[in-house]
Amino acid sequence: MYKLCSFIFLLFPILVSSQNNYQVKYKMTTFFDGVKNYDAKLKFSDYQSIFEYQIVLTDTVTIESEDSFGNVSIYIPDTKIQKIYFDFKTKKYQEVKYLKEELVVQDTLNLPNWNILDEIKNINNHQCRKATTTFKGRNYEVWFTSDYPTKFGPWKLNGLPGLIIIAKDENKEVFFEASEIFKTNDNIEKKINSNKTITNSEYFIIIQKKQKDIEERLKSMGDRNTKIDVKFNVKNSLEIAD
Amino acid sequence: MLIGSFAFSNTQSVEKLKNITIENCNEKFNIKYNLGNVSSLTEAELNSMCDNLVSQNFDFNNKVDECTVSFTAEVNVGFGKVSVTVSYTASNCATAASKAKSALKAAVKEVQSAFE
Repeated sequence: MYKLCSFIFLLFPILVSSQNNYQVKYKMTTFFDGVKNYDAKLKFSDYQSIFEYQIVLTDTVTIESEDSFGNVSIYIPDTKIQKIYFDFKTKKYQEVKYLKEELVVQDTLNLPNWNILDEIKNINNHQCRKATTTFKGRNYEVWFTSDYPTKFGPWKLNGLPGLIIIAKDENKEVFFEASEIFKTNDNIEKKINSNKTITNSEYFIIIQKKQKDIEERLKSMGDRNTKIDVKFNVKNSLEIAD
Repeated sequence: MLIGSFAFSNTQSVEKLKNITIENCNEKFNIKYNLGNVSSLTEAELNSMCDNLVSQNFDFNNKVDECTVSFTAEVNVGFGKVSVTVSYTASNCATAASKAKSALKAAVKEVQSAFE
């Protein structure tokens, strides 16, 4: 009996700490580089969240285009699970970027500047209010509900006084829609354990340096009859400006 | 699936087929192959792809003064794509193709080891 009581006593803080956690599944689609559907989920507690998204595996080979010569470009999408962690207590976020190795980017939380409007509509039995913002180069229109008192939203769209049910950008290239919302006993996964983190600007400096290095190395290859040209195409992404 | 385009300087006539454009010139050949995205190919597959393209689309017995063979290939990397174009100029097309192929394989390997 004593052992059972001790076990319940030890378990109690875990049950209490996770009982207010939610998980939201989002339908996420991007249209800026072909049509890509993602499995996306947001897990959040009072102060922390993790947003994960991964391309739907049936979309992993996409024929992009065929030119006048019949050349077909095949794009092989990234199937890694992308994760972004947010912490309102420390006002930091973390995300993993992939170059040759995993790089953990940790930077100050940069919240969108929301314009909350009077427009209200009912979406899936939630009374939602409209809000707009310009964030990372895109103009977003979202519908959020105060039925779930959280500041977290899909991807990096945080900071509203309620949960985002639908978000889309003005160019119709990015779309999020909550499909399932439920309470969960899962704790929010701990942040990435990494001894070394870099800021977002340091990440871009690393990319530029790597590009310069590889360009120099390739151009020095071969003899005088060899000519090598290199072009770097940074892929379209959710973020089109800092 | 792709495959190659032939571009000849001092154009006198142009013949167009699916995937291939042949322009006639004054014994100075410029042959360009666009391989597309080669990220999922092994080195051996890349090698045979180059060999097949070259052997299927060009008669190396043609006598020329100078021949330039170019291969363009794309490689996926973490932040996007790297496009590499390798050209080799020689007094005959067989040598140019062989040297360009070797240089392309080395370049693709270099890009992959730097970023992947």
